[in-house]
Amino acid sequence: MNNENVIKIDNLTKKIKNNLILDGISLEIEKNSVYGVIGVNGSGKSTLLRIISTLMSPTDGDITYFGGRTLPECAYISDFPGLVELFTAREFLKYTADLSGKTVSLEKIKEAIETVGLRDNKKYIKNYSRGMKQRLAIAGTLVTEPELILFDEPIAGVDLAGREKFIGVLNMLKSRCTIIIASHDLHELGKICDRAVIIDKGKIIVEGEISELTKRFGGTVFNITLSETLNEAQTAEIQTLSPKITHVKTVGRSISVFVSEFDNAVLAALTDFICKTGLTAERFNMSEARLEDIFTSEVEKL
Amino acid sequence: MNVILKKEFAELWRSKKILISVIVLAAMAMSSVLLTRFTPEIILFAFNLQGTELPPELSGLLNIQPTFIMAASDLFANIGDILSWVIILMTASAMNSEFINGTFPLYLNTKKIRLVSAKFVSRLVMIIVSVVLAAAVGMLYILVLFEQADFSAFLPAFLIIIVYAAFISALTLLYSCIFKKVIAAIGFSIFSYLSFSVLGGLPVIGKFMPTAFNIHIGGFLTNTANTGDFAIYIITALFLVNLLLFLSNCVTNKYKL
Repeated sequence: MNNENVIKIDNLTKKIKNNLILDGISLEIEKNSVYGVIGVNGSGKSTLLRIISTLMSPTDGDITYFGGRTLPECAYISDFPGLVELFTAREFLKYTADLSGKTVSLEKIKEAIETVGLRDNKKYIKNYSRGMKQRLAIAGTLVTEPELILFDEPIAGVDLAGREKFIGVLNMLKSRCTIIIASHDLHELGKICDRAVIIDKGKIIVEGEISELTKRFGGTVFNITLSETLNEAQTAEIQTLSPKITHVKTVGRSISVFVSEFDNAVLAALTDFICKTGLTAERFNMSEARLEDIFTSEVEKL
Repeated sequence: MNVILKKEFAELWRSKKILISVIVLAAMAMSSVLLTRFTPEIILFAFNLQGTELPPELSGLLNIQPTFIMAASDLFANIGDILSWVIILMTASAMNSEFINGTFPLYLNTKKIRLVSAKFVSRLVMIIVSVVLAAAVGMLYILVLFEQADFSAFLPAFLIIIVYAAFISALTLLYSCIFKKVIAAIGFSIFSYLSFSVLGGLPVIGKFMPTAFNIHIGGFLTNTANTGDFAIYIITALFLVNLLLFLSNCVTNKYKL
């Protein structure tokens, strides 16, 4: 791929007091795409974003931004976004626009405030809830439209309606900015990302297009709630029922059986197995594997 | 106006820091003049209240008639002293608050010198406004209590106080850039302020230290100022201010999470 069209991360390593936070991360993030960085808390996704934003230095490795070394016009929005507390929403957006050197009309500012579901009033930001602050920070990206936007857990404190609005905003920005989102809220990421990387303990577990990942690791999940908990041997036995079963996850009486593609034979084998154990299936449903299912199965394989 | 400077002014105004600074310094100016004017009466009153005789070694104090020069000299000395504490408390959180509140990422694509200079200039302007108002209050009280109005020495005295304020502001700003904890910035600023005060008491070089502002103000008030020493004092202070701002900018540029 042409270097001018990618953010190239090469063998990035970060060590903090002998703890290896990132271990040889290499990625290529295409211009004007939405890229997901998925991982549990402490997996190193926030560190990766901070290094990309230049807020943190890597111990080793290299980043080039669209063919250059200089950070392009960039917005970094964390889960607790830093805002000017004694400003109103309008003043803050005007301030971020002025900082970026862009002339932004009052109409555009008002529109951005409304888009994220806030009100253009005299209320200082210090009186906003965490979710409102996150929404305002997101509105800031609508106003300035920087070349690169880094979202670190952007919807952690946002309610359901806010999440929908956030996805709407991302869809608006998608073709104009390169967006990198770090999150463990995989369901939401699955709706908006073009590509994603799953990292755990600072290492890449899997990387690829969302559709590709879902196809490769997704397939179908059978979620079954049994009358009693299965023992380890029984759980292992499920894995052997069909070569199409990729992973089995048990949480108490609930089991999730991941299959690479739906097959009546697998379904029959599963029902036979349940009958054989003498347990009752209290609940049984089937769904398409979501990004979090992929993530869980890949991490647990380690 | 510079966008960051404008934001700094708005924050200082809305957080009432400007108001606090003006009130503290004006109250200090007022009480300074009152104290100078009524010191003999206060001493006498205190001993009368206790019902004890005034010791002979203190009775000489009562014969000293407070003058306009004494009041003006005390006024600037007290403003200078209280100013140091006001500046330290108001500036120690200037830069590290950007790190603590998470607003630092807003300046990813901004030259850090813009941020540092906006912090410095906004606080200096706040101090200038406060000093001018405090001195005006002081002058009014001097005029009323001493019935004298020779304020020709006030202009160089203002200049000296402002240069001194710029030095303390730049010093505290540097610590605010270095330390992420406000309390550490306050502690090191106080330590440095006290160290410079000690240096200001040294023979020969002491009078050129920014903290030796009293010597030069006293010189102007009593018409004994040495213009050569005054020039060296101003040049030294301005050099140190620039050096401290340069260091603050270097630290901020190197700042990483």
